[in-house]
Amino acid sequence: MPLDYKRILSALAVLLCLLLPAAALAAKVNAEPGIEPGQVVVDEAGLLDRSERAELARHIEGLQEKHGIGIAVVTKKSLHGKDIVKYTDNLMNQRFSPGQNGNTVLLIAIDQRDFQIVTDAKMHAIITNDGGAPYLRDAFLDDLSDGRYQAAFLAYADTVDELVSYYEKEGKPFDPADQFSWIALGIAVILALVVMYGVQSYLVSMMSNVQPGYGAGAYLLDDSIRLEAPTDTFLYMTVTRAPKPKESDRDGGSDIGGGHGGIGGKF
Amino acid sequence: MAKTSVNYQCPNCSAPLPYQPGKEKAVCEYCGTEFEISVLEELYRHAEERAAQERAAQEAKWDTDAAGSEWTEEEAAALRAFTCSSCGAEIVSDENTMATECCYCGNPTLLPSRFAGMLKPDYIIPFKKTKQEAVAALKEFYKGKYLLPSSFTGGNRVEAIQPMYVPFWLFDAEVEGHATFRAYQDHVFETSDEIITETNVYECLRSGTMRYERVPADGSKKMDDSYMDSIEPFDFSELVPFQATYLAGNLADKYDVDAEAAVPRADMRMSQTTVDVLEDAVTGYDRKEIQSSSVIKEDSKVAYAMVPVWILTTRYENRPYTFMMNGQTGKVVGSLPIDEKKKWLYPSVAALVSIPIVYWLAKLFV
Repeated sequence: MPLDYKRILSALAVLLCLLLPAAALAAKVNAEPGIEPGQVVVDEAGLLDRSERAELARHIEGLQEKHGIGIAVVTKKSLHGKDIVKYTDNLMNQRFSPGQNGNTVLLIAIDQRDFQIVTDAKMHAIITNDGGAPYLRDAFLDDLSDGRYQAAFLAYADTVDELVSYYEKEGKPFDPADQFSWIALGIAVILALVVMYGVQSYLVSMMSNVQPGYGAGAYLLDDSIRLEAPTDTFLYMTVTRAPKPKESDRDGGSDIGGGHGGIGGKF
Repeated sequence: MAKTSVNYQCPNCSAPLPYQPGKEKAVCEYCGTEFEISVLEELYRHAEERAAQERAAQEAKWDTDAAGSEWTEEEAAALRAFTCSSCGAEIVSDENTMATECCYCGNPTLLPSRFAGMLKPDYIIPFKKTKQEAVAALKEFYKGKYLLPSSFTGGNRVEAIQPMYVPFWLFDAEVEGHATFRAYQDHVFETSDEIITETNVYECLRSGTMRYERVPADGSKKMDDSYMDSIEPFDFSELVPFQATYLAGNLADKYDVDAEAAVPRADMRMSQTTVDVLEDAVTGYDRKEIQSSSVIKEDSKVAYAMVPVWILTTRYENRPYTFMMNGQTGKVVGSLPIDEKKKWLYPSVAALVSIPIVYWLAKLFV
């Protein structure tokens, strides 16, 4: 039977007409409104002015190019009760994962003063839960808490740059335990001085056994001791209250599934 | 007009504590602590009893006159006395023993003087340790002293070794002790946001009697009290009645602290131990502190005795060093010279070694 090209073309046209709106609808469902492809700073909460956004974006784009990674900063007025970890991870998977060597997104939900960083599997190998993640958070959290948003976002980007550079140079992720600590050195020096004083006091005390007498225990006849029944009288009771020390909420990062990692909290 | 209030002091903060008659409790206006009136009254009754006991303790006297006795003319004639022209020490020996130099200051000029003015001791502990044992004990004493200058032992010779009987007053007493302690019992519990400590405060009275025998107090000003305390204890069960023949070949220090002057030291030592015994009887508390105490002597007596001490003197860098050995037990006491370089070198090495270890440990917590 000869092919009826007209009927085939007509059927394809109808099919196309049916599929195109569906595809467009699907794209609309997955995409975040207002995010352009390649955009690295999305300030829906309006924390930055135009020039600050442009400067931050230029800075991040430079770092992305330098390391072949993806870095993004997103601010939202509200997440309307959504889970911030899942939301940020989905956002990174769908819109902010251009880097071949790893990707990370910092999301701010200003209504609840929540922040969340997520990293994909490659970046998670660079910014580990107990090593780079707390270091990265501590780098910008004070500025974030004080409302210096641009400084906080620049610190975030620069610290990602620092951690990736460290990884590229050393071949292993950043670990604070490997770093020189002035605080630990100070403690060591102070305790060493205590050790020095203790050793010296002990050695000097060995040089003399002359000391004044105390008591006459050596001349007390033990079997002569007769004690009367004790009298104990309750006088009063005092009550002191001390606030419990609060556990620090600045712990390390955590795995969030699929090899991804992240760290978040309040600011 | 009827008296409407009585003023106490708050046992917690010592502020005035007024209360109205007829009420069972008083509350301190300053610290807020609440007290049962009956407890306060008992507290003050105890304080008055303690004051009376302290007065009794002060009035109790030692019978010091019974200590020692007079020499017979024959005994006194057989003794010789020497006075150091440098430090004034008076040394006694028998007629066949010559004191060649002062055992206190090393001065070789000892002037013979008339033997007089010294009681005859009641008892004596004879020397049990020899001169050779004294030298060996001193060498043993040097061992393990890391700061000792190398040249001290290397070029050191003991310049003088003298056996000396040192005068001691020995105090016997039955004592009655009373002490008041403030004791604290803590109960700690936690709520969700607080740690609460409730402290119950108690007044604890402890009383008892005990007996001391032969509590020594040296009768020589020349003998450093700390040295004499350190050289103890002596085993006074080996005391024997004094005979002048024990002085043959030995020197004896003539006492210059009489029994009455030695009483405060003996009293202090017995009081301290009595209070320690009473404090040990305060049990079941987290903390305790003494408030007041009184120790009353009863059935007391004092004896005069001579105890044996080897005195070893040496010099290092023109400074005299004196060591003493208990002539009965062999215990050596003394203070050794310190090498200033070693004093700083060894602790510095220990500090330098500890720095990397402590740094590594500190890194685990910061």
